[in-house]
Amino acid sequence: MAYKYTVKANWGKGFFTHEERRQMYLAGHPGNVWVVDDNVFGDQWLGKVVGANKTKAEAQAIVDGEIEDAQDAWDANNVDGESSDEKILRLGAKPVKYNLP
Amino acid sequence: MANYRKISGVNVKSYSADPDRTYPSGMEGKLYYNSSDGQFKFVGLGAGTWASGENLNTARDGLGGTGIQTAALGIGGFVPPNTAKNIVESYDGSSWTEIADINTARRLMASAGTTTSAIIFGGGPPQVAIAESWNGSSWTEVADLNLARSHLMGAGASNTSALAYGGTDGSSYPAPDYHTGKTESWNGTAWTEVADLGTGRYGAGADGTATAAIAAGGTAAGAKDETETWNGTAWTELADINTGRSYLEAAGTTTSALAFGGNPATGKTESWDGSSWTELADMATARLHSGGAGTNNTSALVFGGTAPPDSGLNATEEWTFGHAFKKVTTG
Repeated sequence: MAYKYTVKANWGKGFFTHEERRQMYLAGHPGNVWVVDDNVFGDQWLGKVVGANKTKAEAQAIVDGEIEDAQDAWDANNVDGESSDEKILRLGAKPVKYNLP
Repeated sequence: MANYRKISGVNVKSYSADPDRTYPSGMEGKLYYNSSDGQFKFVGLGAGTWASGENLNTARDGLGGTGIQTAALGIGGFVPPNTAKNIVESYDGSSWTEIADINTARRLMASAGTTTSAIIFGGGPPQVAIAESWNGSSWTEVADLNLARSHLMGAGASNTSALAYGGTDGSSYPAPDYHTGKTESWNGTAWTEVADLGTGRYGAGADGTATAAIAAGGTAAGAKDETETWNGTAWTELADINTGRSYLEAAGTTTSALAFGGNPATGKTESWDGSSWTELADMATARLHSGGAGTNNTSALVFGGTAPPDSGLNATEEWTFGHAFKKVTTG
C-alpha cells in the first residue's frame, strides 16, 4: 500500500467523516501528522483539510522529534521515593519510537 | 432468464438516491433501483466506522466518561505532568460544554449513569475511595467505596445504581500484582461488597448496569484478554477479547458492546455480540486512558486520553454502524 502524509490540527467535527473512513485508510500520529491512502479518496480528503503535505521522511522526522521530546519529559518527571512500577502506573510507559506506514 | 416481478409478484422500488445509512432502519436486505446512477442495489448490513467529533475544550487523559454518543459526560482527568483536574464537560453530539466541577480533582476513576444522573468513584494514584453523585446540576459527595482504588471499572444506570469492580489499591508496591477483583454494588446510599471478579485486574474496558456488567481486557502482571460478565450475583468468564490489552474503553451491554483503544496506544476496535469479539475498523487516533460512552456495538463515543508522546488529547470520535449499498450484478 502507498500512503500520503500531511500535517494538520484536527479541528473536530467534520475533520474526517464516516463516509471518508469507509473509503480510505486514515491514521493520526504525534505532531498532527496524518497518514492517508495514496488514492483518489485520500487526495479528496487532503484537498479538504488543506494541511502541509510532507514526504514520508519529513513526516517521520516530525513524529520522531515529538517522541524524543516526550521521552525527555518522561525521564524528568519523577516523584521522590517512587518505584519504576509506580512511575509507569502514574505516567504510563516511556514513549518509544516507531515507524510510520 | 427470470423476471423479478414474475418470481416475487412485486416491482422493485425506484429511488432517486441511496437511502439513509442510519442503522437499524428496517431497510436491511431490501432490493431497490437508484434512478440517479441507474443501478440495482440492495441494502446491506454495512460496517462501523469512527468519524471525528467535536474536540474537548480541555485536553486531558485518564478522564471518566459516561452516557451515550449524543449525551455524554467527560469527568476529571489529568493534565501532564502531574495535575489532576476537576473539570467536567458535557457533550450533546455537537459540542462540549463545561459544567459544574467535581469536588475532588482526580483521574483514572470509574463512572456510571447519564448526563442527568451519574456517579463517579475511586481514582488516583494516589488512590481514593471518594464517590460523588451528579443530579444534572451539581456534584455531591456520597458514601466512600469500601476499598480505595484507581484504574477501576464501573457500570451503572444512574446515581442510585452502580457497580465498582477491579482496580489497584497501590498497597503492594513494587510487586507487579497490585490488582484486585473486589466488586462493590451501590444502591444510592451505601457500597456493599459482592462477589469478586474471576480475574482480578485493573484498566479493563467496562460498561453495563449494576446487574448486567461486562469487563474485557485489563492488566494484572501483564495484559489480560479475559472477558467476564456480571449477572447481579456472580461473574462468568466468556470468550476472550482478540487483543489482550489494558487501559481500553468499552461501551454497551453484556450482549452488545464495543471495546476500543488500549495500551500500548492503539485504535483497535472490537465488537461484542454476547458470545464473541470481532475486530472492526480502528479509531483514527490511537489512544489509551480515554473517556468513553455509548449504547451498544453500533453507537459509541471516545474522547481524550493519551497517545504517547501526546500526553493529553482533546480529540473525540463517534462510532456509528451504517448500512452499505451493494450493487446487484447479474449474468
